[in-house]
Amino acid sequence: MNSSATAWSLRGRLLTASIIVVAFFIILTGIALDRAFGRSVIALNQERLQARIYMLIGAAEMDNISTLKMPTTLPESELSNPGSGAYAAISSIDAGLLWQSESSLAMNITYPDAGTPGVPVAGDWPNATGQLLTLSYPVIWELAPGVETTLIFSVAQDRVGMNAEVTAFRNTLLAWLGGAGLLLLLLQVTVLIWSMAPVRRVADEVRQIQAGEKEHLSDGYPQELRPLTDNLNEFINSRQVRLRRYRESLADLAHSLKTPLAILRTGAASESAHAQKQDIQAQIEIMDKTIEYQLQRAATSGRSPLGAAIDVNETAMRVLLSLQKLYQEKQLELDMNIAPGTKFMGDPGDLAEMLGNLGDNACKWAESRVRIQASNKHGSPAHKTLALVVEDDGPGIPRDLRNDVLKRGVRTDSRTPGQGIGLAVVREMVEDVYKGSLEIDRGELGGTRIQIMV
Amino acid sequence: MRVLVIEDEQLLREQLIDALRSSGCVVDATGEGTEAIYMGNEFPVDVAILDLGLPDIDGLDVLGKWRAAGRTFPVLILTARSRWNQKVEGLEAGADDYLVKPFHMEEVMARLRALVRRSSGWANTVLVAGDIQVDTSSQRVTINDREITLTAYEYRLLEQLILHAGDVISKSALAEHLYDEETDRDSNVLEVLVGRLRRKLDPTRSLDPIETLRGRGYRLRLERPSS
Repeated sequence: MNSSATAWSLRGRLLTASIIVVAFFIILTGIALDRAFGRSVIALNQERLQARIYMLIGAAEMDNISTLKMPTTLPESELSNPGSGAYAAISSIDAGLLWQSESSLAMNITYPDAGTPGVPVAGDWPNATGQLLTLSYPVIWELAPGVETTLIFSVAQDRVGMNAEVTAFRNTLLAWLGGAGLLLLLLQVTVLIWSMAPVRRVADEVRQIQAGEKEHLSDGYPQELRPLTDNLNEFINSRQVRLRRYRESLADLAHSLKTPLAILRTGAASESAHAQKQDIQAQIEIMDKTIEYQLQRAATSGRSPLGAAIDVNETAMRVLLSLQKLYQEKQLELDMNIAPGTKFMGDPGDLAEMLGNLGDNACKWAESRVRIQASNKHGSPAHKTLALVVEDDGPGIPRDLRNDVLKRGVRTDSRTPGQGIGLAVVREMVEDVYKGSLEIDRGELGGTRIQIMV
Repeated sequence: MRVLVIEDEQLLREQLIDALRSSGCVVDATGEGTEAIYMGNEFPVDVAILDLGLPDIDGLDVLGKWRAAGRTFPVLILTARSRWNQKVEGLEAGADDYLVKPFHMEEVMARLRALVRRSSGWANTVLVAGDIQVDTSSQRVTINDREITLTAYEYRLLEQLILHAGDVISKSALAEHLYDEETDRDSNVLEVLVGRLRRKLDPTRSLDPIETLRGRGYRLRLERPSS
């Protein structure tokens, strides 16, 4: 995966998306409004022209088939002004042009051909001063009962005025829509900045943690960031816990080795060779066990918040096969009863350590049989508890010695000779690191039964 | 028995060699991985002690090379790596036993003996061939429950013969497993030893348990008990 190709910043994405959406919307709206207005202006003007025709019809009088009388002043005064932009003409099918308005005297207007009487025909004709909106209306004129002729009333209107209206509207529209668009964008940016504040805060707080100014992330993050911040905090915590364990183990180790070393030093200066040898061997045992115990403590990983669930069957099988090899001399019967799909929420190395130490202890003391059982008990859905039981058919551990076997640290006087540190390691891992429990009992097989819940 | 010791820490290696030689083993040793691979592949080895932290190659890789070459002698891993997932890894790589340092020398010796015995097919510590019983842990030999005294070399010879009871073992192979120095591996010396052992095992010359096969070697005639 090429991660060097920088992903678009959230800010960039949101800004670009906002601009595109707002622009698109504004433009679409503008075009729609503009068109609508344009059409309504045309419609309005066509109505005006139709009205003019009705006015002309009302004003016209025919003496005979070729004589048309129009009043000198017409209700629409523009028709009398040359170049006013308002024009009219009346013609007849039989006699041609009968009258035209004074405004159209210098003009050469071609009106649309008329068809069926009573049906207005609109036209669009370019003219020296611009476009003209024209309308022709054929009418059947009754001169006398039974005598008819067809008159064509034609009117025209210069588009200049109309265009001016449209332009004026358009300018207003642009101004207002543009303004609205900018305002919207401004609001978007503000909303963006406000919404992104938590993300900026996370980044700031992480930087503060790195600089050592803060220990972990604060509360009060929005729901979407919670999985991130909660997990990060857990991660920081577990790392600190682990660091603390390392330091403690190291300190404990150094401390516990001082006494045996002191004894050895004194012993080396002593006269008695026999005493020397015994001391040396005893102290070496102590030092060995101490180092082993502390090493195990430090190596315990514990539960990681981002860790996966470990399949117990697989690990248990491998440990069991190893135990078989190690204890081949004893020819033990090793039974394993683990439900398929049993999981351990923790570190795989730690699981091997638990199984290995408990199994080793069982094999060491067993007569002929060792049994390992494991299953999941349901805690919360996210946290399955592992119940692990290891039994042997050996002599068992007397009740009063059971605590001795689990004692922390290593001191020869409080530890039964011959007892390894294995069980103490497991107890420390189970109780301190995994916050689980360990119990020693007498089992069905007759010997020791150890149950842990992690 | 012939033991191959792989340990890079010189003092420890020498301690192991001394202890092994004192108890009558023939020892080959090295502290390097590449030489270890060669020795394991080419030498006649009854059992090997393998340290994992070698300077040039990881011990587990050495083991892998031996097994890949078809070498089946048992291997005891001797290492400071003490975590269980490391033990599992070592045993899965082909080792037969695993001891964590620091160790008790007696335990190493006992485990080596057990490994050799098991790899020859003997399940118990007491090897039995007819009336002859050899207790490998106490190194006592009895015939019909009557104990007989053998010298160190006579005992080792008998141990080798019983481990391979029923099979022919050549003079040179016997010599390689019994004698450290090339100079001692004179076939005459071996013949004399076999003769002395025969007399002790069978004073009346009635049983003749050790068979001589001309040109091929010796065989302990008595079959091992079927288990």
